[in-house]
Order: sequence, then structure tokens, then C-alpha cells
Amino acid sequence: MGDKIQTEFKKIISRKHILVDTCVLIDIVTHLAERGGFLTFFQTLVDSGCSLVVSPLIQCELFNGELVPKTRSIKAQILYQFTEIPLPQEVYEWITEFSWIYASQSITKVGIVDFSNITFLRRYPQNILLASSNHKDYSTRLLDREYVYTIDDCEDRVHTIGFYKWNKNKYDKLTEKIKHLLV
Amino acid sequence: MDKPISTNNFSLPEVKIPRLEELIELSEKYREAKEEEKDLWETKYKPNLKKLSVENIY
Repeated sequence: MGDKIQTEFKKIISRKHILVDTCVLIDIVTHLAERGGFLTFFQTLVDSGCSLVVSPLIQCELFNGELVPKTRSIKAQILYQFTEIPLPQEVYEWITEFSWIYASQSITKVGIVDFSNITFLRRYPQNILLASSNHKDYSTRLLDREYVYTIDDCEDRVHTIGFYKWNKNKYDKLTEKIKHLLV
Repeated sequence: MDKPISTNNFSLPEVKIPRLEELIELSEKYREAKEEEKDLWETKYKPNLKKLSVENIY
């Protein structure tokens, strides 16, 4: 990644709390050992004064499909290095609201963990960015995608990690359209 | 290293700073463990799977 691009990226993430989505965490678990682009990415986050945080719900997704105790244990040790933040108390109300908003935009098949991640963005709009490679789950009709970080030296494929932020104006416009449906 | 900005009453009880070398080591262990799991599937579990046949079903 060029110096200019790195500078722009560092400016956006500097001293922010980065909420790491499960997909990014899985990629970190898988690709950090390659000592390539993911290592540079991770090092940049740490060097920029970012605090890497995870949702309490992430454990379920992270361990999904891991049958053998050994791999579950390794993932648990990796997860322990991240700071867990509690779910906002508004999470249950807001998850329902977001699912309605998404339905009004014909966006379906978005899971509860993804909606709960958006509740963090709404609750702490000044402090948090969400890092995710599941771009279809985080609609830019509701959120701002501040940056897309590309890692192209992995063994499997090109990885793109989006950094998402809450946009109250977008939320207000969307809810205005569906307020007659919201109880 | 400065702590992240804290506003809107958002502050973490304990900010963990990931230990990079440890994470790399864990990543290597994870990859090795997944290879072992794949080998185990090929050598131990798969050969012992009973093939479906009419006799097995009824």
C-alpha cells in the first residue's frame, strides 16, 4: 500500500475504537501467520492508537463450525487479546428498528449479530468504526463507509475491509419514510 | 501510545493492547491444527463412513 494511501487510512482510524466484525477476526486468525498484508494491516491499527474491540456476541460466530477443542481453544486465546464491550442497553429496540429499515430497502438475510454491530455505531457515533468485509450486510443507505482497505497478497483471495460509521442524517431520512410502520 | 478518544461517557474498563507476536504464533498454531483436522478426516473418519446402500437403509 502506497505511503499516501497509508497516511489517509491512518488519519481516518487514528485513536478510534475499531469494532472488529467476526469475518475480519477469522481472517486475522487465518492469515496473520503469513506475515503479509494482514500483519501490516493489524500493525497499522495498533500503531495508530486504535483500540480493538469486539461484541459479546462474536464468540458464537467465531466458534461456529469448530468441532475440535484444540482449534476452539486457540480461537479463545486470540479473542482474549481483544477488548469486549457490553451491548448497548437499547440493543433489543434498535435491532428491531434496523431490521424494519433494511426491509424497507429490500435488504434481507442480515443476521442479528450484524444488526447488533450497528447498534454500537449508533450508540457511540463519535468513537467507533466498524471493520467488516461483509459489505452487503452494512448498507451505505444507512451508514457511511469511510474507507476500504485492500489486502491482495493472501494465499486465498483479495480481501477488502470496509470501515463503517453511523450517519444520523441517513437514519432520519430512512425512518421518516417508514415511521408509520414503527410502533 | 495515547489512549483512544473517550467522549459520550464511553470508556472501557480495560483497554487491551494485542500482543502481535503472540497473535502470530496463535495464528500459526491454528493453521497447523486445521491441517491436522483435515488429515484426521481423510485418514480416520472418511474411510469409516458406511456407504449408503439399499441394504443399509432397510
